[in-house]
Amino acid sequence: MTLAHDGEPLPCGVYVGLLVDQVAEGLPPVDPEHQATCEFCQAALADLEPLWGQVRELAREDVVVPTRLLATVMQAVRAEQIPGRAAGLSLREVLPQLVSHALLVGERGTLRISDSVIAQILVREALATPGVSALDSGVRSMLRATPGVEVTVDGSRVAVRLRLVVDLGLPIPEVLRAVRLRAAKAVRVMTGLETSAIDITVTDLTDSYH
Amino acid sequence: MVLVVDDIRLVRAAQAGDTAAFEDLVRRHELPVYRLALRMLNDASDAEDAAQETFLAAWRALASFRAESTLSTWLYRIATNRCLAVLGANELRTGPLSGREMDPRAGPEAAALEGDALDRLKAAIARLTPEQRVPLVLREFEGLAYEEIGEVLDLTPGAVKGRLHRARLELLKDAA
Repeated sequence: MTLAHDGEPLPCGVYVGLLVDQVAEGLPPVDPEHQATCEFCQAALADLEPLWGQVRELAREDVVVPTRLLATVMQAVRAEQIPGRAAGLSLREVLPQLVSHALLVGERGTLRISDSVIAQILVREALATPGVSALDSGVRSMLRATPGVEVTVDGSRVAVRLRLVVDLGLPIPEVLRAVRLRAAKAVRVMTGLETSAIDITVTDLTDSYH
Repeated sequence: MVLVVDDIRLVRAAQAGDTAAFEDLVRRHELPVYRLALRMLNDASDAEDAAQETFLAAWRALASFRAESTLSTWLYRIATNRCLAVLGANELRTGPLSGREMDPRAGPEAAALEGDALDRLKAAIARLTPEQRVPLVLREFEGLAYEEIGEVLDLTPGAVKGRLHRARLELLKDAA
């Protein structure tokens, strides 16, 4: 790569930095006659053009704003008007108090997904993962609608706590990693929501091979 | 006939407490604000958070908005500050799932060669110092003039030009 430091000129005396700005800004050459015939300038330009072409390509890349952004912002803005909830709170602090479902806004209306639906998706995915034999059925978990799963919806993102019983003899970290990947993917595919955290506690082991 | 309501009129209505007017403003400006955050942070979910926080901060500070700068410059300024705060805090962040794993574009299609080159470029931009990254993103991806970037960063156009120049050289050295 012939790209020299800005402080070093090319053998012909032209500073590379000058050529960089020429390419990036689409400016005409400072010295067109020299540049047209100089092999060093031409070589440097031949390196710079494709590199900068990538920057231009990235600039053209379609960026799609998540559809829920507007809804989340406006929910928080309207919440600010509730007395006593005026100033100094972050979105994370404001939203959980108001939402017990995830909210997705499309062109034809809003879509609400309750956290029990998300919990059911998680149960299915956890149990379908090799190595997971059950969700925790301890006394505390039994008090919930969906034992072993706790879902917290934070506006448009979902935080999850799972309590699992795992098969004896398998590497637990690998099992949990598989659960995480499956769970995050299923939630994303089925609801369009992102998972901000999946915390897993292994509460017991079962000897299912015997 | 299409009736175009300018930003200032919407800002005045929003300042008077009209949330629907503010909603129109968010709709108008969400793409540039989100795109800035995405290019600055190179993470879709961090960018979404930063964009949300930008608009909520704008709502809270709306009373202090004076028409000395355009709304768009003012929002870029808030968004830039949010991104710089996130970049500062990111070093401390840990979590069971990193933002990168959650990036929906990190799927098999990202493995295509075309995607690789742009992903490498995104990563190279993310390696620039925040001081160089801001002017580069505002210039190359948001198309702002030196004067406007100067307003966002409280710099003279000359100083913007200098930083931008160094940012470009750094980026090209890294990508080369």
